[in-house]
Amino acid sequence: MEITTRNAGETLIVDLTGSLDTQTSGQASEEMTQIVTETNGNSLLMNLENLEFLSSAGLRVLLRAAKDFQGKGGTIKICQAKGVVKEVLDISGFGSFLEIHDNESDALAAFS
Amino acid sequence: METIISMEQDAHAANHPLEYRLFWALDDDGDSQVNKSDLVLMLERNGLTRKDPRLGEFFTLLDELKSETLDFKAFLNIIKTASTLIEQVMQGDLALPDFAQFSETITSQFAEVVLNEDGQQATYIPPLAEVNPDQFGISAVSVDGQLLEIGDSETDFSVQSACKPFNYCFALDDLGADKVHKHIGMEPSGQAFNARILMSDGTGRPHNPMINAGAIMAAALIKSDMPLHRRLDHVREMWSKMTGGSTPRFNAFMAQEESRTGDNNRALGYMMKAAGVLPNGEDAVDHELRDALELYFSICSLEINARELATAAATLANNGICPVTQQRVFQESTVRNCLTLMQMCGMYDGSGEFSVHIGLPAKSGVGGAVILVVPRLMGICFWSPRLDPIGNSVRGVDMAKRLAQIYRMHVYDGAAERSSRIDPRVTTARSRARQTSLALRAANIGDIRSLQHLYDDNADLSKGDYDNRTPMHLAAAEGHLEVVRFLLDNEISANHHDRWGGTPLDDAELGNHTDVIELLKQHGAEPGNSQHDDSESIATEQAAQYGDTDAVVELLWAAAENDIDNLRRCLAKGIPVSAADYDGRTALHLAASDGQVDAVKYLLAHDHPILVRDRWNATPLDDARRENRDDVVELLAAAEREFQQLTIKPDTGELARTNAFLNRYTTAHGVHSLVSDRVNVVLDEVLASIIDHASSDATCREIKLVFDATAELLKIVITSDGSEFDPLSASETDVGDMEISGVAGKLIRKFTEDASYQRNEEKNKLSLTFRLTKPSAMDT
Repeated sequence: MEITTRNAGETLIVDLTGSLDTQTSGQASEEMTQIVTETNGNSLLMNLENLEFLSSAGLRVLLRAAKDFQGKGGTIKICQAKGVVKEVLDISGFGSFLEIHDNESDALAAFS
Repeated sequence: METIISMEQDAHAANHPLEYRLFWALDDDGDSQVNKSDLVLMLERNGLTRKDPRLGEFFTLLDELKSETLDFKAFLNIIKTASTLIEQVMQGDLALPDFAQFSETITSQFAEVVLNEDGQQATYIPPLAEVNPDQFGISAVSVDGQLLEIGDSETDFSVQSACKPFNYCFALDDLGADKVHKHIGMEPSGQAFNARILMSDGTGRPHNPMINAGAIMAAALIKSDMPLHRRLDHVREMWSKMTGGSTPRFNAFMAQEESRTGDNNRALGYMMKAAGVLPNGEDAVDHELRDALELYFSICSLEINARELATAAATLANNGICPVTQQRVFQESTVRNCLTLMQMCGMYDGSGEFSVHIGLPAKSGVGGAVILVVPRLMGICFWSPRLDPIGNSVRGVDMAKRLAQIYRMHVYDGAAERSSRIDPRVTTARSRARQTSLALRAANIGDIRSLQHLYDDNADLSKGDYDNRTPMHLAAAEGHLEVVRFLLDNEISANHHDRWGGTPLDDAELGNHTDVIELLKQHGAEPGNSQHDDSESIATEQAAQYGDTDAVVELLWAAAENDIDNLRRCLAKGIPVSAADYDGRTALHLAASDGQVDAVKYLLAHDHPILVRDRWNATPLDDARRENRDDVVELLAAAEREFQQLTIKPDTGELARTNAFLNRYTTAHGVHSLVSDRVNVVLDEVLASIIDHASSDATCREIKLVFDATAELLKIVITSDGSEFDPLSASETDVGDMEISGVAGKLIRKFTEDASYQRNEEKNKLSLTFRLTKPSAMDT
């Protein structure tokens, strides 16, 4: 699992690649906390285009990051989930408390 | 902000892919340990021993290690002291790739030739007459420094005339060919080596450097401005460079005797002085000639052994670079001139005949040495004191003739593939694979032009492979009508039987190629009694496709013959372990068919898939059953069971294995990737839950997963020991995060067809059923 970040205007985009599951969630959680703590902006977009796999352990990581960021007064969104990752997000009802977009430009536009 | 965070542990193997491949190839049983003894044995079988200066540090490090086995880190640390050499060894890329076989061949010839007691040792001076004539030593050194030693290879003997080519090289390298050839000719003399004649072209030069007069002249040219004793030191230093560090011993008594009996040589010297051809021309003074003669007598009295002389010859074979130190000793042009004259004049009056039959640059000495240079391959020294009437070692010439009959080494041997003689530059396994696979591949792809070429080149187009599959079988199987016609027109039989009793007609019928069937029947082709059994299992694993058919055929042959050395070599070269041939046959099919237990174990330890299927849909286990290979059936049946079940410890670190296992299983059953991902989600949920529970229950020691797939459904039964625990109800009441409480339960319900829990016989038993049909969008 690999996490990288890049900037798009005021928004910090976090790209998640690989599998976010029971095995990788511990390390991923630390990395996400660090990213959320260090960023100064108010908008964060998690791009899941290259995330191949997600289970509830991984959902917990995403949720924790969202709560931390919202606690700082920021807004967090998700985009480009596909395959089983999209199914897991749908079944979990994640969409009821986080915006989920099909593509990155729509998500970025939704911040403004 | 740019952060890149990798969560993969830094795998040493990934940083050293080549070295890891070598390690892996040598790790026979797949336990991530390599035996020290296997590594040493492999080097020895390639002619590389502790004597090799390149391996000094390697052996020091190896000896320091107390353990008998090496893990990858230790292996890496040790082989980096000689990594290129070890890479060449493991991939079979040394000059003599089949060194072990070469060694066996020469050893068996030695055993016959040692019985030859013909000839008479040199007696013209007492120290030569006193040598034990029964001694016989052989050494060969390849241009990569591989060393063969047989018999008295470490016994000193008098170098005598075997020094002549080297004296010539010393002079050439120092003064250049133009200067040297003003004093020494390049023509055969047609006379005895000590004949009192000079060239009649008006120059008065000696004919060539391989006869006495020419060698005296070469001595006269070597460092002529230095005092005599320094000149001999220089010659010995040059020998030390050629031999990789051994300085020849100087036998003062021998030199004294040479001088005492050397009047004929003095006569030759004075003839050259009179002709004004010595380096100082007409100004030559007596002490110039006297020093030249004394230097010549001294050099002839150097003592050397067969190994050292073979290494010097190998320096010539290697274009002037010492094979052991890899240091350049002579310029290439020096070596070329020397080898040309050795081939024309090196074997005294027998040079012409020797060159026709053996076809190699050679030089003999009355001390009993015969050296052979096989350009770009190796240097050889035979030593045994008894001489034939011309003055060449009887056993030396006998060995040279035998080698020429066994090996393709004559400089004018053609490049033709098909010869009864062995090409020592390639392994026999490789050359057989090549001879066979060219025609089979051409037939398989319908390449009639290549077949025509092979036919013109006298290839046997009826020759079969390890399954007795012939070009006709493959052309028929693939429906290549014109190829079948071509083969029939060239009178290739249509009735060869393959391993299963099948004929080309059976192949054509299986492929439903009506035109081929008709043509074959017109030519009297008959059906065979082909027996192929259908497998019980429905799963299929993919074999690897690999473009180099020769390499694949070689790999399969190695498996069929239980040749672990060659299996290692194939894997070290990067040939995929499960590479399939034109019939979809893999190494495991062949090892199973031929009951080669070691090869089966080796292949399984190297992750060879077990459910690969050949042209007839048979797996290796089917092969083993058909051929009644009971030991192999047992191994493969166990592997198939393992393929369906997995036991893990209650530790999240084990989930990677579960994941890999599931991937392999679902891929083999052709499960859609989205369905496989859903199964994976459910497994992640329930296993995480069981493992979490186990962290507070020491009685839970293992979790067993049993998979059972039909075309429609996949059933997974997960059994764990320890106290009663139902992961399904736990998944419904998870309240760690309010927002996603019970999500695990929802995912399990959505993704499974059925999920149930039972507690019986002190075990927790969870049954999960998944529908395998192509998924549609989830209704959430």
